[in-house]
Amino acid sequence: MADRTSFAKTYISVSNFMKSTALVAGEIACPLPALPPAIVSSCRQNVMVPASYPGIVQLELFPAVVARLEELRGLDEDHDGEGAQAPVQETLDIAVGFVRALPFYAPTVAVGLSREGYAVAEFHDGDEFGQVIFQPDWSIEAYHNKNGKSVLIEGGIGEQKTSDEFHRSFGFRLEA
Amino acid sequence: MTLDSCVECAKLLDGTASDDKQAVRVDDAFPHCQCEAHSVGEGSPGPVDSSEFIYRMVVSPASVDWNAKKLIEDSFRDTTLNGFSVFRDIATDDDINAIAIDRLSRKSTAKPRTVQALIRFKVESVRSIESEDVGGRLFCVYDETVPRRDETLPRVPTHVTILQRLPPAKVEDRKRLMKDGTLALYRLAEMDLVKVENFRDGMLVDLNSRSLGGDFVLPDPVAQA
Repeated sequence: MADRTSFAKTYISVSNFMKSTALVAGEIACPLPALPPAIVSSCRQNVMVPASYPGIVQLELFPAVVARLEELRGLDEDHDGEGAQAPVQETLDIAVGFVRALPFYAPTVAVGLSREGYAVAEFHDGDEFGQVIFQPDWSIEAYHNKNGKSVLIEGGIGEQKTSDEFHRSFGFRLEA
Repeated sequence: MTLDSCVECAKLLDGTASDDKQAVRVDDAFPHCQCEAHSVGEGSPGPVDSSEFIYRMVVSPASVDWNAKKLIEDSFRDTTLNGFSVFRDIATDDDINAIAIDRLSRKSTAKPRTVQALIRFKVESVRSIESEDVGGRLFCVYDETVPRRDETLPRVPTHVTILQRLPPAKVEDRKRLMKDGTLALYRLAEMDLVKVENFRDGMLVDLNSRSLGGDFVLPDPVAQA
């Protein structure tokens, strides 16, 4: 997932070149008020967001992921037939915020629940795997593994140390 | 291995663990999967051979994200706790029905559940995963049987438990190393996901229909009393 940052940088270079040659319309300058969180997030990371059509702003980058998180809210306790806890709604709230803040270059994300009922987001990118488990107290347990080299990050979402470690491993910022 | 250790293994793996410490307890008493040499499950046809195939039933919608086409890795964490329940390929249809019905049974207030998919593992592949962190094999495959939801019914003899071997408690970064181990089994699982309709002539499709139609509702404890 760290590679995604390089991808983003490459995109910026290409984007800037195209912009300078006036080939692209519909890109969004940063900052803009009232933008969807995903786009604001990308802007904060100095990444231009491509619009599919000139003048059209994409409202949700990962709508299916958010919809699935909303579906998971309705599961009962023991939804696995093996004694899983009921979903902890606060963790799903945090996960929805997290997914909405993901930049467009984030890898494939799958979402589910831990047996304790906490929302889980898992990223897949070839041999790279990332996992974020959201706790109701706004802390996370994030695990990242690339080619067998792994990192475990535990801490509050708003904490600088957690945020820095997360960015270093996952290649994008931790926001919710 | 002695007769005593055989009895001890059967006691340790009696299918009743509920404290999330079975993986630690078994490896502390009989490290390096020593109990695999014995048949531990009540009614089991014998220890699990490496040439066998075993299946995991995925029931919770929270354990598989069909949008992303990915299993949720965290659902494999049971291997580090009381064990990951699977069943043997030699299981009869009746055995599989019994296991599935127990998983699909629900309170009257809960929504119906369905079997989402199955994961097929070759036992040899599970047993061949190794890690320096535990000084050898990472996963043990035991013929442990478990009580049915209705404990008056006989146990399913072809139930199997996978337990992950964990680094010693004092090891730094133990949690991360445990996750490394679980990820190895997950990656193996990703390679052989079986659709419900492709398993044994779709026998689980029928059970899913029955579940959605209102079957497998547990008796209300208040009404029973």
